[in-house]
Amino acid sequence: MRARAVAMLLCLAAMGCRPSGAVPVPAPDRYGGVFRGAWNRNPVTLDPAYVVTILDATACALIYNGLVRFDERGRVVPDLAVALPEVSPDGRTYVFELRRGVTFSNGRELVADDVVYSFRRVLDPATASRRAWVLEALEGAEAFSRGATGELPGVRAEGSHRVVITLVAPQAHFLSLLAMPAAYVLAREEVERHDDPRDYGFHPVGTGPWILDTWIPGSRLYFRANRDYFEGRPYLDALEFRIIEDPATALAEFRAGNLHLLRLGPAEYGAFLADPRWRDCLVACPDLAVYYLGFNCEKRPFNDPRVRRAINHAIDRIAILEAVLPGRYILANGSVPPGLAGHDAGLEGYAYDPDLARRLLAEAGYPRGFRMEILQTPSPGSLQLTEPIQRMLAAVGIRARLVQLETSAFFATIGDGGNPDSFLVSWWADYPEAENFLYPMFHSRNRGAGGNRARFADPEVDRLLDLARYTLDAGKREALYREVERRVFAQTPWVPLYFPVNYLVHQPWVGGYVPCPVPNAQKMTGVWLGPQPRSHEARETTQR
Amino acid sequence: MTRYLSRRLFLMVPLLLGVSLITFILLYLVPGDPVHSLVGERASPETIENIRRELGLDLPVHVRYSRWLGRTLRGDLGRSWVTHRPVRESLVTRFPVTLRLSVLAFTFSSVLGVSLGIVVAVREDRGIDHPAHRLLIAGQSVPVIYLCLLFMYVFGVWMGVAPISGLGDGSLRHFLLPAGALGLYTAVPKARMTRSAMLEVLRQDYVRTARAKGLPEGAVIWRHALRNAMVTVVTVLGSGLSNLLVGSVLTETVFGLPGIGKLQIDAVWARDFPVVMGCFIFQALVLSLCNFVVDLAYAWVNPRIRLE
Repeated sequence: MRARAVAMLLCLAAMGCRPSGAVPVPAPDRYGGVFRGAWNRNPVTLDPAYVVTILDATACALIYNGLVRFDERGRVVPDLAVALPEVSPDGRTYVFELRRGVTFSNGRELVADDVVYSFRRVLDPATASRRAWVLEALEGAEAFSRGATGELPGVRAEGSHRVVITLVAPQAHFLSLLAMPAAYVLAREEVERHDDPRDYGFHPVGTGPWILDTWIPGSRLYFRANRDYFEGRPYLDALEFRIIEDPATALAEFRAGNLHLLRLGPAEYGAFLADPRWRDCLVACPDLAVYYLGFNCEKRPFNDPRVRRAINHAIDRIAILEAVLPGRYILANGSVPPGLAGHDAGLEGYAYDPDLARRLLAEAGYPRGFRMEILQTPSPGSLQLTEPIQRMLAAVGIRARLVQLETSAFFATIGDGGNPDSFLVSWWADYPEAENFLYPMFHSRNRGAGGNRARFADPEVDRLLDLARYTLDAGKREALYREVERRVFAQTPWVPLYFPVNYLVHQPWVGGYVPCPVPNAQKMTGVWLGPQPRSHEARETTQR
Repeated sequence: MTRYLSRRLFLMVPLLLGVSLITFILLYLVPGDPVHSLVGERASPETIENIRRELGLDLPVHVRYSRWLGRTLRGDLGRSWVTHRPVRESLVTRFPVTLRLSVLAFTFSSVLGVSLGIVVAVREDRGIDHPAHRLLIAGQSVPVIYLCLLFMYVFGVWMGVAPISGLGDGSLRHFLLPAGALGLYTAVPKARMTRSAMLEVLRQDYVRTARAKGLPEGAVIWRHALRNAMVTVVTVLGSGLSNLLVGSVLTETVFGLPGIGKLQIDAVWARDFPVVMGCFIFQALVLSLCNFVVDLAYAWVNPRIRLE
């Protein structure tokens, strides 16, 4: 419990509830410098219509803007719009006034038609966007994305700086969807300049604070500051992100002073935490994600809630997490992470009680246990969790076999392509809403690959989720999501494990870095570099 | 000779066809769905169906193979399913990185390995031989990844004499550490092979004759022994270079070098079919060309070998 409280505090600190003034305000002479970071893989594309991964979203956030965006606490704030939109009483019409004088990095001024073009492009079947669902609530989107009509009444420009969006039905989290990369605004002429429109993803042009200068696949990306950025130019002159896959290499580069920011792996975290020189440079960053051991609720014996409860009681989650991820987790008793409206801190997990587990198994007709498989990806972290789970299950008579599948095969099996017993998996949010956890993972409409891998089905949960999605009153919506969460976890479709807390460490001369739980909230505009010690300067290599 | 050369070149055609067919079938058989990594969760069934059609995944396997083959024969390797970059462009930009790393590592390891092998063979059972032999065995037992990290920390972080990782501006100094680590690692088998080949030759009658007629020891070793020992050594050197060209993925990953190896591994994970096929075909071509050159080198170092 103490670990939980500490983790909660860290989480709150990172979510922005730190004392004001903790982040020093840079003086005017702090302009300039090149920030050097590392990404563990190459971005796939910088075309918002095809962004699926967290890394691509992070990179696109530097280049583009949407009508609205997330701030570092995950709240929706105006971006290209002057203010949050006026919403009609029926919750179906949103009117956005655009900022004036915003220019794309090609010099052209942004107008309302650009928003219309960008939205139509995502829904256009010819684009084959992977994220068409983000805008599926727009009026006429369904027929338009099928190619049945060329009309999309759901988004239209009124004059040069007003955009009117109409939805088929009210959607409570619609503004969060508009802050996703798929709803970023592009310049039509830049997309159409390429013979193959997919080449645009390598030559992106947006209105954002950074302009992509160089991209050497597998090696590095170099962004220079947009000096005409509508919120004022960033402090830094440029950002360089090198692609460093191996964590040991990234650590070596950081220790030599060649990287300004490092995401710490479990092995390094302890060493940095224990070292007083780095203590002030460690930043906690809770991810909007949940790790769980899911059951296939359609398959015997896991279709019996008593069996699922028995397994919950058989596993000492705190002992495992304290051993594997000390200081890097928040114990999960449900699916919605703390910090989101709808998170239920009062939700009690199933206490570790192997005797009760045995009794429940006997009651369900399995006094001598049974055999089961736990599917997982080949990541070393997975085995660290499932091996102790295997031993604890053996203590109540369940003989679990750990099956490692290559990532692509794993997701195909737990999606629609297989019939697993149970699986260790995580869910990462696209936007900071309880809806983004509960709807995909527990609505029967999303069974299998849609996100409901546990094949959980409860008509009442479906009804409540549908109701919540259309409930515009934030308080009522939150209450509905809490009710859903309680109802779901009373039926134990999972063993919820933890909400991950990650740690970043920055060099002492880096200021203004605030971690963002939502990946595309990070615009890097407030980061600055102070004077750097000589020893490091000598070693820095100019890599343009 | 010309007949031999043209026959060897002609035989590459069925070889490449075989490699492409086997790779294609293996990719078809391994479990996992490429579409999943492309669309993420929450994509509608229509989106998934559209993408399957767009990629041709709805077609029977023989139709897919013949389409791929037809396009490839016209010189079009297609575009990556994941990044949409043309495969040929990726190979063209990444191969020079792998080539530079391999050639540097190869040169370093050949010079070091062969000279070390000669020295320890000449001094058999004396002075340097035993400690050097033990060192060679130890060297072969150290995993290359460990050697990479060792180089990185010693020369990069502590001494600061070379860039730790990355391609930087592409200059030679960015290849010093990876080529050094890889070169040292691959020098060991070369040294051991050179040593045993030299020992065998040094026991031959013609070496004794050379010594008996009063030739200086240097001339015996350089003119009579080494030339003959090189036949075995060239085989090892040749396969060494081709192994480096297709198998330095660990070094590339650790040192963050965007070479072919990394491209290929990423593509395999993502089931990025056109890239995997392109990489394998390209590597098969490189390997067979390397072997071809090695065969030619035999004739050069040892005229006794008849190519026919």
